[in-house]
Amino acid sequence: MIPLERYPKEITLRDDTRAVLRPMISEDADGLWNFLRQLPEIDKSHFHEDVDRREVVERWAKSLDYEAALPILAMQGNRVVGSATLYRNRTGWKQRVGIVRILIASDFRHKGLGTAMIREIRHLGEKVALNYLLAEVIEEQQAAVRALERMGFEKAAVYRNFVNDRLGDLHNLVVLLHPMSGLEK
Amino acid sequence: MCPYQGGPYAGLRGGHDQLYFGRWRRMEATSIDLRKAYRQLERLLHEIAAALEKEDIPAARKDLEKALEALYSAESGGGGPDALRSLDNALSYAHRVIGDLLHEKGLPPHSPADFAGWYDAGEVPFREDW
Repeated sequence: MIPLERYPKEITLRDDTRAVLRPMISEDADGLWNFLRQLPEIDKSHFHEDVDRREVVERWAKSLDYEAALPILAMQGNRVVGSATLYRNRTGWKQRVGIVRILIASDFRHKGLGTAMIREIRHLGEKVALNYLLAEVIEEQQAAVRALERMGFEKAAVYRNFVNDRLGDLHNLVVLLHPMSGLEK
Repeated sequence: MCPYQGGPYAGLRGGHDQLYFGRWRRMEATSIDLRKAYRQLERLLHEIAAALEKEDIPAARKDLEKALEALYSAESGGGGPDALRSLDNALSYAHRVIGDLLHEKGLPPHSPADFAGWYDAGEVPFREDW
């Protein structure tokens, strides 16, 4: 079981605004949908489904399974202002590799929220004994790449013209890895 | 007065910034400045280790180990550019650990840039921007 007793966790951002971090619950469907709708197109490229459709987000909210995907939301009041999800495989050769996806509302960038979310996911990854965290970022998202690197992620590969956005344009994909503390023991 | 006075980890934050804006990073730094920075950083890392003992942050412990490793490799590097790089790396790891400690208390990451004026620093190497 993934330990969640640290939530809800209140954090103060660089400009003194506050946010509360907590796992997503099924009642967050509306908040998450509103959050996803306002994100720039490029931030939505990695989703397998059309997140502008409300029913897609409602289905996610109803089928939450923290052992497979643990979404931590950053809330300001009732508004979702950020999300960080830790994806895990229960079995198989990647069961010790966690995949990280972080999204931050446009008006909450440059405040240290992304860095705080990376810290949270890193902490959770340690608690479930992962060997690596893996983050995939489109190369244009340089602020995210820098923030991940500053938190100990290392560029493992850059795939040229590898992924397409929702308009079909190709982008370079940066893969970053974070070795966890248990790996070297 | 230290800009962090009265807040959590004020000593660690002030200690970090003294190194961050220290003479050893300037073009005109001497080997004495470098040796002094080495001792200051060694003290800071020991203080960080003491603070970490009360917290359960495995990633920060690992970063502290890396910081110590970089510090000791700076010692073996004499006074050359490798030693300078190692000290710089050790300070970066220390910065991350201080950020982790602050995050556990729900506080924003440590950003020396915010207090550059107080330290009379001409330039700031980087800022948090995500």
